[in-house]
Amino acid sequence: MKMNVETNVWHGSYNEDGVFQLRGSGSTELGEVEALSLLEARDQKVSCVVCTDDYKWWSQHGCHPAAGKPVWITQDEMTCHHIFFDDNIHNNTDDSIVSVRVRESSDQSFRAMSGEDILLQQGVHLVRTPTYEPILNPSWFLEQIAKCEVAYAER
Amino acid sequence: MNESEVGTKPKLILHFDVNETIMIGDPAGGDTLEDCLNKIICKSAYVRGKDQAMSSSQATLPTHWYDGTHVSDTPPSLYTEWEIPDGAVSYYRSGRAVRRYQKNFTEPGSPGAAYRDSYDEMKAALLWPSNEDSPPPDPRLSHDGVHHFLIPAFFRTISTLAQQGRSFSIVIRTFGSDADDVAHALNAFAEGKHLPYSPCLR
Repeated sequence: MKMNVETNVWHGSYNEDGVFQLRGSGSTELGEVEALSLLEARDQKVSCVVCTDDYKWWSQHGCHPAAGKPVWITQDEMTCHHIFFDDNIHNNTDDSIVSVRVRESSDQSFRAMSGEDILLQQGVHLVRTPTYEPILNPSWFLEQIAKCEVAYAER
Repeated sequence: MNESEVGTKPKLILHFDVNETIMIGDPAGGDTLEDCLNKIICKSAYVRGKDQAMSSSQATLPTHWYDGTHVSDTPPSLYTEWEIPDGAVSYYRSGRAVRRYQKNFTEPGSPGAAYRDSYDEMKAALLWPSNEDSPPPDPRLSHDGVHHFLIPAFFRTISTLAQQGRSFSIVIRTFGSDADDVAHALNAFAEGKHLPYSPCLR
């Protein structure tokens, strides 16, 4: 199996209206749905993309999770399962780092979940990473993925 | 996992933060490897108190570990669960006064000195394996030639999923200036430079 590593770094940001976009090299600019398509790379078995996120936007919004690094859920489809590992995901409705953006179906626009609803994604789409664990247990991420897959299948 | 199980599972889109999630030590951000290891332990050492990370109050140091033990006594084990014990907060987020200890938490004389064994254990786990016959690590995978740039668990995840025949995307997510370095490390991995985890991708 070959892993395709996208060598160009993409830069994620929110515009003044809170709309997420992804900028590549040159003038390439992707809207949220196109960005999601790039990250999911459904035409590839294994792929890898490197993205920067918008710290300024998150900080300006008081570190509220809805302004954090976005991850996506389309509720009527289960072909892709997003899982986000981050040591700064907190069990806190007002201070966490990942924004879960949701839509009912693929013909709708994404909206940010509330801080309360984001907490409910822990163990399914979010995994707070106490880094002590994966440093000492090389299988820790795999174990969390397996737990998330069980929880996702039960939804 | 057999082929039919693999074929029915959704494609995994795995997002990994970089700093202190898969990368330990951020010289560009002002944190050495040792600073980061201390911060990691400080975040998993729980004390009695309230979360003060977003405020400038709480100018005094915590007095009790979360199990009620006085901080001068042997502390409980590090706490890594999602659910926060009632009335507890990580030492790291317990107020303004603790900031001076976050990067040296386990040093002698610091409040978390009793956790020094955990610090040593983590540091040892980050050593690049070496013996007399082994070649030096690819500099993209070990910047100092001694420690892993990205933790082994990250590469084991990719390697194992590939061996299982899973369809997956890795998405690196960072606020920092480390994106290019991570891309270079992933390319080294894809080239087979990270034994024993790379060969399944060749």
